[in-house]
Amino acid sequence: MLANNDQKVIRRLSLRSMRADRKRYGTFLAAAAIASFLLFCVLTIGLTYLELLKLQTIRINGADYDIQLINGFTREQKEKLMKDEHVSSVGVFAYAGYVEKTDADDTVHTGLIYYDDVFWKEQKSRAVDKESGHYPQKSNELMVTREALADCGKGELDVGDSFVMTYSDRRGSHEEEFVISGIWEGFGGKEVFCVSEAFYRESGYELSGNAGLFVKLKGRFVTKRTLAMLEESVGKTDRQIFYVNSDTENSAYALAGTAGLGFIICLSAYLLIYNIFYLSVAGKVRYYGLLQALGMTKRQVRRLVMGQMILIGAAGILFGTLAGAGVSFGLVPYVMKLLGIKAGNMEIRFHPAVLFVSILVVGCTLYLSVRKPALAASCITPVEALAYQGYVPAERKRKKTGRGSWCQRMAAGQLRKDKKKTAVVFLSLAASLSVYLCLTTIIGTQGARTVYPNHMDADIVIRNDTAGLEDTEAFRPIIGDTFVEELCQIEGIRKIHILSGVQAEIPRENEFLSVWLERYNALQSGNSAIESSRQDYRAWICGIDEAEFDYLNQSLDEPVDKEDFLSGKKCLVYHSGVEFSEEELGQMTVRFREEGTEKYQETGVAGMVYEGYYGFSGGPGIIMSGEYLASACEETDILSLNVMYDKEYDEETERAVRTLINTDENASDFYCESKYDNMQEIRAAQSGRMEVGSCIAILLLLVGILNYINTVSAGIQNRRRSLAVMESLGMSRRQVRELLVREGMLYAGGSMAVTFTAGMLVTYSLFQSMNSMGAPFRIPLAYLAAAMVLVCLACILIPLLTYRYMDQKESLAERIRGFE
Amino acid sequence: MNRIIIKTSNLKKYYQMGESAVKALDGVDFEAREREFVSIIGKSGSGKSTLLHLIGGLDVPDSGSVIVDGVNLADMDNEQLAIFRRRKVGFIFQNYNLIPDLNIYENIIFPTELDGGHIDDEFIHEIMAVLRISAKREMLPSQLSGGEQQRAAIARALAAKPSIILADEPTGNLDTATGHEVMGLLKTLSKKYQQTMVIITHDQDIAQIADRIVRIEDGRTVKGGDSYAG
Repeated sequence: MLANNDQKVIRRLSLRSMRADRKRYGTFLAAAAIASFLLFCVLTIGLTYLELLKLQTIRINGADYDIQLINGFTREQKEKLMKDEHVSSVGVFAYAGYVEKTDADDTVHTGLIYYDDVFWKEQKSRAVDKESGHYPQKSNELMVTREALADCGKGELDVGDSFVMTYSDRRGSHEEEFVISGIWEGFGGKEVFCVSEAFYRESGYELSGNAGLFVKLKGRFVTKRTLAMLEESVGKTDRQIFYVNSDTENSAYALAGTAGLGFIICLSAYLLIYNIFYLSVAGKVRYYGLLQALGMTKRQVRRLVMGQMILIGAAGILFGTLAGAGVSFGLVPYVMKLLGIKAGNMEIRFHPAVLFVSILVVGCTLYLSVRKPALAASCITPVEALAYQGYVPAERKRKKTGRGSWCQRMAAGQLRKDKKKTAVVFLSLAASLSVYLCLTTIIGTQGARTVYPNHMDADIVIRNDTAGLEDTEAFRPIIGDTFVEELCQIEGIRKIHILSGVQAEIPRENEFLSVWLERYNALQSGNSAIESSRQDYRAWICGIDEAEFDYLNQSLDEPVDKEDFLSGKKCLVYHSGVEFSEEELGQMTVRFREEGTEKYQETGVAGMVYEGYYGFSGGPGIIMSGEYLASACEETDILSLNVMYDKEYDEETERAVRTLINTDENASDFYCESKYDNMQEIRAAQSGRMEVGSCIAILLLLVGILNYINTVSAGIQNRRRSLAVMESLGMSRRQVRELLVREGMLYAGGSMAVTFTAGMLVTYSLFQSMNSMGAPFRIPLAYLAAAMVLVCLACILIPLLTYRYMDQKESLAERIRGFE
Repeated sequence: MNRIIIKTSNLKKYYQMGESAVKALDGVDFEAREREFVSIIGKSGSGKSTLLHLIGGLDVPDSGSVIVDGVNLADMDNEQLAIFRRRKVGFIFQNYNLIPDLNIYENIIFPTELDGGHIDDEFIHEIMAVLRISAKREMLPSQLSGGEQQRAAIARALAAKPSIILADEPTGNLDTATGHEVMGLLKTLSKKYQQTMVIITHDQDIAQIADRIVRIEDGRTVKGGDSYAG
């Protein structure tokens, strides 16, 4: 047969049929546009989310690095790391001493640290929000933070000002005048003065002793094997610690998780388009049959359908992407600003890859969703097409009579009827709910997973700072009974655990002390070692209450007899880096006498605790029963208070406690560790990440619900005949609604079942990979319940509203007649 | 003489088609007595189906009344109309209108199930046997021939033992032989189960099987058009 030029007639037919059936083709266009829009939004906002996640890690770490090699390093180790193909940069930090006091404060916590150019300019810069002045060049220059200046009682000083401070380095104690060469604001350790290389060289410290390396790796994802090889190549000593950030360590899982999330997002968009197009083209099979009856060939029908869809798809992608760009770059930041959500450094950026992926996914989906029904439309005979009444499973010849009520049977049968369509809706809803569950769980447990808990998970720990001074005679009892009573009166405080203390002397000949000193000094380098010539060693004997003992005892491998502890026969020791074997612990005793008294007491060492809370003045921390100490010693002081609030992170209570501390005459000698502050720090580091995550979760939920809406409403429209027939046979409207609600509940229940199994498994795995604090797995029930209610409502209301619309538009007779 | 079970008075139903109103029924008076077999004949668009829909409570008239078994359908709400249809009326459509997802047996018992009533399996087996569809019990409608589907639709209409059977062109999609066979079955069954049968057809031959024929033209019953066949 000769080829004929049919382009013109097909184009004309294509355009006219689109013009004539604007409503139907408008739905196609809307579907392509909505899918492109959602995909573009979710991917753009999702990539911003990942960027913010990275920024958060940098801020929490205080610099952009993946590995720390601490407790000194050699030149060879540094060079080896720099030459490694996986390493991007190697920065240096080195301990250079500490500030002892200034004329304004004698309980200063500020350390002196030297950073090299690589660390300061490359690794630290992303955690620095603002920097004025310059990094110290001369030995008397300091780069400071406002917090460190405040700690020294010099909060009012600025760049260029100078002040005198007494500091200690390896050569001893010095008093000198320093010039503030720069001030930085941002994230990371704040109670630090950064010193120049010149200062560090004069300090007497060596890089092999109190220094370390910050290693930044190339790329965002690294395998555990690479990390292990890198650690091995460094050839670290027993003293050195090769510490990999938990995010870096789990980056391979994160990559898998990100890829999985991306897949689900693309799948949701795919399902949305596929669903609408498949149903719509399948619904026009009779029309295509008519065209064939009038002489159109199968090829021409396929070309007609594909041509229309390509045109609509292209327009849909264009509109959707433009709308997505508008919402992502304009509306989201604007709404967040309106709602007063602090976005921090959040900036939604355009990623060309997102545009490419959006077009690719939507384009491929359009092709796939149109191809099959178009092929089906062109393959059946015109007579068959004209008699086409929707999907009928051809392979089924028999159906056993079901059990249960008619409603239950019919609802379940409806879901079984077109398994593919049902699977599409299930998958889409389940994928959306699962991502929502995943994100809300991760967001909801942010605090527990990332905020480093205080001792006994206290809301605030208030310490007497003077108890930590090297010179034990400088101790001042600033926490008295009155202070504790006033604290107790603050509304919102649930409990206070008091850590009391007795200043004691442990004789040099005491076996426990001598072994402890020997092992402690072996771990130290240079003048960090404790002088061993002293006759007696001064230390704090800490006293704890019964509840605190129970808390410590449950963490011990070999629990201590409670009665022995409470009666003073046994004590616990704080680890402070020195290890004792189980046998040694059972055999050793600590002999001590309260300062200013002559009577010696003895207590058996029963266990070792690792909580830094009990470390005072760097000595061997001895922990006994507080009640026993109060009865056996003449004078006990309060060293620290562990305060629990009624409500975690309660702002009101925190403010009241802070006011009490700040108005105390010894305010500068209190040292507080607050869970609330830590959370605030984490929140600042997150920089809007949670809000962006919530946007993604909501958008995905929307995708799932839209998928459901279009499938179910189209499904009910296609069932007008069946429903009308059933009504004519005596099915009341109430019974129709009951059937539709039952079907909706099956969809909701099924998608929830998938969410609670597969979705929960994914969520749990992701949670654990991001759970560096070992927080318990907790699902945000309120958020989950809200989403479930929303899904249930959608699943119930959409069919009911569609039916109502159909019912109002036409009478029962009209609906029946429409098919005859 | 048996009592009147269906009575319509001055029944009117208009449809709006674009800018003009179409008078589907324009004052129809119609009666049918208990156990009577009535054929309504007329051309396409004469209003036969509309009349049947109004009698069956599928639609509401613009004016006039439909009284079935002494009850005016206008006094019923939607819920009551649904119950009326499932208990009093059995419908047979030209396109059979079997529910495609249900097998033949499920289709037949469907109206009884909707009513929550006891399914008289013995009776169902009997009518299935009479209609020769017992072997098709677990088949889906799409697997049956047109004649078989129509017989299944008749079984469904009879299953709830309604007092009235309304059939809209029940032989319209069947060949002549099968059409006559179905009509024969309908007549036999209506007599056996003492039901009132109202059948719409445009086929004079088919209509002859009925006890009485009512002619309808342009939305009105033709005066003197009633004839007694049989």
